[in-house]
Amino acid sequence: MQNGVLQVASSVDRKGIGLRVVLDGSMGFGATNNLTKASVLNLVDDAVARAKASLKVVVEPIRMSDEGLGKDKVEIKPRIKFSNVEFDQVIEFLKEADGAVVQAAKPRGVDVVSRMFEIGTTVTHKHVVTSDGGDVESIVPRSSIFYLLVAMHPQRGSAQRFSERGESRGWEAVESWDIISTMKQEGEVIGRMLAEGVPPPNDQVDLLVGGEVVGLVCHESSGHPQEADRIMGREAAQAGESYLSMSSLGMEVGSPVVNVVEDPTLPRSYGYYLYDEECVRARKRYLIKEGKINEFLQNRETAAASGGTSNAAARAVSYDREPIVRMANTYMEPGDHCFDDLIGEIKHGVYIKNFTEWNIDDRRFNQKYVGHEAYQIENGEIGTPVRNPAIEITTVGFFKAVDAVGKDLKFWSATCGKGDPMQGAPVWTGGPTTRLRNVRLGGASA
Amino acid sequence: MKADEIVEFVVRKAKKAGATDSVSQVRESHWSMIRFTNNGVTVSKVVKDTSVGIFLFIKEKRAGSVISNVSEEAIEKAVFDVAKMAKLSPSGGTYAPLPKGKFKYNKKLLEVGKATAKIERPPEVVKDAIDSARSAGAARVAGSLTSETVRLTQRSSGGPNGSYRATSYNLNVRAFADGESTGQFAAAANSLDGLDGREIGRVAGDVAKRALNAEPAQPGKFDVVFGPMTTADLIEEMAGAASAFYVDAGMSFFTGKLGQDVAPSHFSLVDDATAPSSPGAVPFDDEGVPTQANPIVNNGKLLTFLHNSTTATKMKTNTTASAGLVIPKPFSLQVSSGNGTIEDLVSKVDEGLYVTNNWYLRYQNQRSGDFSTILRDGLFNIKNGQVAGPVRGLRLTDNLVRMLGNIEATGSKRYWIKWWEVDTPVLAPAMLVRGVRFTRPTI
Repeated sequence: MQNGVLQVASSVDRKGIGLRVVLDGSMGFGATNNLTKASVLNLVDDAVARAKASLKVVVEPIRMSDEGLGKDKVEIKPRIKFSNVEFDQVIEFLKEADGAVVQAAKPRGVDVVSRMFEIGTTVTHKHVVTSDGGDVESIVPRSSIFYLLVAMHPQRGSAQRFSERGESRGWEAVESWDIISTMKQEGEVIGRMLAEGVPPPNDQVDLLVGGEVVGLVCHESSGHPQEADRIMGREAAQAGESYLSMSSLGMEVGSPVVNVVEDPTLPRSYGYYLYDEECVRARKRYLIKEGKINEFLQNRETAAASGGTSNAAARAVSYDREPIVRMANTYMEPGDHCFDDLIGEIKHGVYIKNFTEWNIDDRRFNQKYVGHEAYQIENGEIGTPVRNPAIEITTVGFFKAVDAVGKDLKFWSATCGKGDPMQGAPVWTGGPTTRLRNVRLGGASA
Repeated sequence: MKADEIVEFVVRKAKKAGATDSVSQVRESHWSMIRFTNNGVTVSKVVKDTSVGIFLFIKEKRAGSVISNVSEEAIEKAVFDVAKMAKLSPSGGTYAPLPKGKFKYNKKLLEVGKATAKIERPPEVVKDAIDSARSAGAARVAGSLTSETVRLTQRSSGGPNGSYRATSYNLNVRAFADGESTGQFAAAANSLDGLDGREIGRVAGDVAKRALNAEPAQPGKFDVVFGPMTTADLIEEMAGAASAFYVDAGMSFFTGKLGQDVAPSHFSLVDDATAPSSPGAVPFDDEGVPTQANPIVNNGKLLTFLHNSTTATKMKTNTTASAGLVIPKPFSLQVSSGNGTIEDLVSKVDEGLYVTNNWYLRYQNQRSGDFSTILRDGLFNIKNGQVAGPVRGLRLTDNLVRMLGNIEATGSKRYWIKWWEVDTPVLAPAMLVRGVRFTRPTI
């Protein structure tokens, strides 16, 4: 829906088979949606032939680590099936959300000129079988909503905000998000930031960073650089490598209060799975423990190459994509501080609650997060809105500046991009409000 | 059913289900890729897929579906479901009937490119690229070689129907002289013979070698020479912002600027899918209208937004044969060439930067064009008109409208660029832009 008008309703129904073969250390992958026996056998021959044709250019023969593989069926049953939701109910819901954000921004003379909403529901039915005994079937429903807002003020220009919600549940997830209230809040905030925001301070400040930003930092700056395939160079020509090496386990990258967790098994989570695409049982993983690199994300290929074991990080978003090392749900483990404690000990600082822009280099070290809802902090109190403060910082710089972690853990959803061809994987990012000391905002410029 | 029978069946069933307009596509794709890392192949992939696209209007109410089951029963059910979705959609949008009539398509565009039958040949090209990059100074080489042949059969209820087959290849090579000293180059062509793996590898390896021993870069405002890889990325963003859908939605930095001078008079940007030698060449758009050359920026003036029938009706103009059924899109972009080599562009800069590649472009504000992107691979100081030592660690933080206005010159040599970061093929030269802002981390 664009500006209150439904642009299109669409559905996609895809079914196919993907297969991976390893021939004398050369890997072939094939996929098709033509499921006749002849077509599938032809595909097998083709994948094997391609693996064979590339044999003379293979330098590091590929093998799979030995793992205890699952035989199981995992099914999430939605409380409200998507097929039971009336289409006009969805439209009315989106229209109400659209109207709410417009109305909420108006009192400050701000016009939300562009509103885009996308609501999506999917059911993924997978059956993975491996030649060494794995056999796992899964059925997982997912719900999501994405919105992008552009607001304008006659004298103060424009501002942009986007966000996403997603869970591995039925329509009951959408109902639980209370999007109408969220949009009222978004409209009020974008109006306030645009109409009243002042430039960020350019001296050194303490930062209070909201869970939405902290979750993204954990994803971008801990999750990605700790993917073993990146470290080993398998994504080198696309998403890049890592500032870490396989010998970086134990390396201190943050303060002792920093603990970053990766856990596919979180109930309801957008990145939920109990077995990965190689039939390895998923578990909670500490990527950073007490400020030190604790564990990498591994699939069976990287585990065999590094002499370790898989921790079930192999994911493929569709039958026509090869399984590669991916995150699922990455978050900063909560501490024991309440919000008032965190802010109360800041004399001069900025509270950056959420973000509107970010990027990071391909070694996952140099990153930028531009705040959307942000405020000055003076003597422990929230003050004037601050417009688009930019945290431009290194990975180690961020994690080492953390001196206290809140207990208000929350999750946001995202679609993580990686692979060639691109695979957009559903993930959660999460964090509690977190405090950083002595940071200069805005990026260094002459 | 064969592809032409399927699309005819869909349009017939859509009319029976109450559609005022409908269009159907059968897409038969044969895609393959070789990925390589650390000087060796890591995986060889092949995907063979057929899908049926169903898109219908009931006046301004629109709905669509893509299905992979091509049985008659499945297609009929999908058409019924799509029609039901459309009927239930609210009124209120713009109704533009799909273009009517029988169009003649350029015969040269009905069969574009040439697929290589031998599966032994792509690994040889990969090996050539790796060897060449290593000879030029790389210690490690990674990348991907992709090929795709698509046969697309389409029918619209307005009358247009046709079919074409298009083959394209692209090769992306990244060379590492050490962990952080890297160079990357990519190219696209309509045949494997059109890709010079050795040259692409040589360029990547050479940049990587020259990037060794880089110093931390100083942030600030500089005159910059962008290599073709970065030009392609920035141009793709600009062409995307020229899609009338985004302009109309208020999400484009070109909103309100049609007819205005947005670049110097020497600069032009055209979306042209009509040249058979171009990657991205197609005979018709998703509404069946014959493709044409669309001058987005002509001699500095923002001349054309990219339209389908709906956006054209809304803005009281004609389609530019750029459908996307919902969002108009570019197919094959060409930047005007200027005079001189990259060295000639560099010679015009007293103190500045030579940027060979970038990635991860994100907008702080799509409406204003405020954005930032990370520089990657070889980045060099320019001093007194010459490329000086390598540097690293910068982020380009600026505004695309401002940068477009500050393009001082483009190079004479252009390259077809398409890779992981650039989806639409761009014929891109090097480009000199004055006064570009760069930042870096504070701690």
